[in-house]
Amino acid sequence: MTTQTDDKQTKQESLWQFVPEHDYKTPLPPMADRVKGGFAGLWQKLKPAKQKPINPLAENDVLETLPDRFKQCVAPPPDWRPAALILEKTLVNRNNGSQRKPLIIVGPPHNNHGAMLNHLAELRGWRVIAPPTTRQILGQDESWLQTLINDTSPWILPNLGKCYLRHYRGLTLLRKFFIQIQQPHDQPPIIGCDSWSWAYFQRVMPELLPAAITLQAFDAPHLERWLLELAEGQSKKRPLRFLQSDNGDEVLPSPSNIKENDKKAPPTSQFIKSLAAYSRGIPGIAWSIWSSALHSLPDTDANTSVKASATGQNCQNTIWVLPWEQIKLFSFSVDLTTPQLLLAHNLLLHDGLDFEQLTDVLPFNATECGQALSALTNIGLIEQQSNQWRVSAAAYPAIRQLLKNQGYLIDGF
Amino acid sequence: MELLKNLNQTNVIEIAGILAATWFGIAFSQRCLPWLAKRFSGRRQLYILASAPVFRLLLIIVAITLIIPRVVEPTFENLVAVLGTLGVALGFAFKDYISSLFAGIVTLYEMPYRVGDWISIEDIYGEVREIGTRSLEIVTPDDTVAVIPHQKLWTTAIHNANDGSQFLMCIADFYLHPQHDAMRVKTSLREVALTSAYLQLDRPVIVVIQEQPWGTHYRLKAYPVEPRNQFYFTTDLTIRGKAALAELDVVFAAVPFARK
Repeated sequence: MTTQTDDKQTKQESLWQFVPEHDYKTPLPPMADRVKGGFAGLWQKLKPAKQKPINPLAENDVLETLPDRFKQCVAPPPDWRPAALILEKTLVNRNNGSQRKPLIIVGPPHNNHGAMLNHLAELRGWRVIAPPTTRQILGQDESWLQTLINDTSPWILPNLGKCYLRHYRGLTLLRKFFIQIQQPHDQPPIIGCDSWSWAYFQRVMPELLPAAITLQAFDAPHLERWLLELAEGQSKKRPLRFLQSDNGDEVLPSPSNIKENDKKAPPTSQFIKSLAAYSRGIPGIAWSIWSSALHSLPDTDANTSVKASATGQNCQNTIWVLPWEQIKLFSFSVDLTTPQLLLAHNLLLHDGLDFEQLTDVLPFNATECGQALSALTNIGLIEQQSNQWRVSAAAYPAIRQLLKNQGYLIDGF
Repeated sequence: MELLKNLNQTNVIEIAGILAATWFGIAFSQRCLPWLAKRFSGRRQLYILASAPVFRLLLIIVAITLIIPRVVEPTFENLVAVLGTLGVALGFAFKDYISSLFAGIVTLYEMPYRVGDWISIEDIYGEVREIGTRSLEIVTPDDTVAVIPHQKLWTTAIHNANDGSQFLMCIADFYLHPQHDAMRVKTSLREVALTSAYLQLDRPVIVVIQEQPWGTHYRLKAYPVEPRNQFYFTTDLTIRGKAALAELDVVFAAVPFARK
């Protein structure tokens, strides 16, 4: 039992890795995709504005999107607890040295560093600090800072991006916060921050920022292992096969192909390589696209899964994965207007905003903000989650590239 | 020695064909290159747009090179005579026109302005929309097209605000009563620029303070992400700057005294 746990932890250690932010490396696309991307990108620029619908292959016509209840089984939402465990080990090693300064954990959008740090707070038994309210930020109300000073117990702030607003009164409290955390602590605080807010802070207050580490991006082999673990975690009694729907090739290696004591792992599929590159190695983005690519044959595979699950039989289940070329990746059919671009950019810089905050940070009135929100929602670029507007995971790679092309500040991840 | 060739039907058809092909080539490049440029952004867009007059000039040179041997006996003496006569005649008749044409050629390698640049020539400010062989077209902020001959290059200062790049400095002016804490105002104005949604964060924000007989003049200098948003950006800086300064209880210099 102990050996099994040790093995698992060893695997996790190599899967999740925290590195200084300048050591972050995004996976490169496969050579074939780079060549194709060059031609396709040129064609994308030159072709007429009308988008031609993708004609799926005949055999794909009978495939249907994997129902949510099966999706939950074969591609459940990411569990950030293993990452939190590795973060805990990283911090213990760090604190064993002489480094007792506050530390920022930076993460790209949809990596849910907030959840990861909440798990870490549970592990350590530290208190979690909620961000100040909009009124406190704009009122430059220092009572929020006082809560950090008065209580000397160690604390974790999961989302620093929620502690400022891009408003002329919205940075003062954050500056004072950074000055405050430089004071000596018995237990230096741990602070989570999204990568876009971090990029903004690096431009407007670089002299105040402490050191930052980040979760290393998943390259294709890591992504493959992680997706397998997600699937295996829910269906250990039912070995799953992930086959590409156009040629039947394995997208993820099945257990029968991973023989014990066989050090030669099967090569990572082109699909996973493309997925890793397109998602920039961000697990949350990759998971979103992965789960949308999963399909099944109606009344066969899915039902088999249900029956197998109910009876606990060791049944072979097949999940059909659409070929990478057939996945409807987010693209812009029309050019975004300046208000729409500014809105999307500010949503990223704040890791999401509510409507009231949007009118505070954007140079438009509520009507114009509403129109831009509506337009971006209609094309699927943004979505609302518990009153917060955010850029959707599916649209993130495309809007990041667009903002980069237009010369806007982007994150370093 | 005959100077001109006897123009037969074949020659005439060939010349007409060359002229038609040249016209078609120029029209095609003038439509195609702006269309192509729209599909790119940043420097690529500027270079594609700037290549339009180069294409046109090349096509014209090729056409002349092809037509002359069909009209003139291609000997050295004949060419010197024809070009010399044409040069003198055209020089007197179209002095300014020729001057603009040569200035147009000079602009191709000196590049004092490119398509997409924001320039000011003799109090006309606007974005360069097209660079022709003889003149350039700029669109003013009031959406008026101004056609300016290239020969202005010889005698007039040309102010180029972004010089082929995406970086164009904008300035918002604030005029305050002299009795105030200048450091607080400077800090506040800097904060206004740093939090503008239009700001290009990779360029510096500068506040310049100048004491005047009537009060204090603040110049808030910063760059927008898109040069075309310069007026929105300046407006945003002004609106939010006034709001921020009002919260500092400073008094605005309402009427500057212009005493000589």
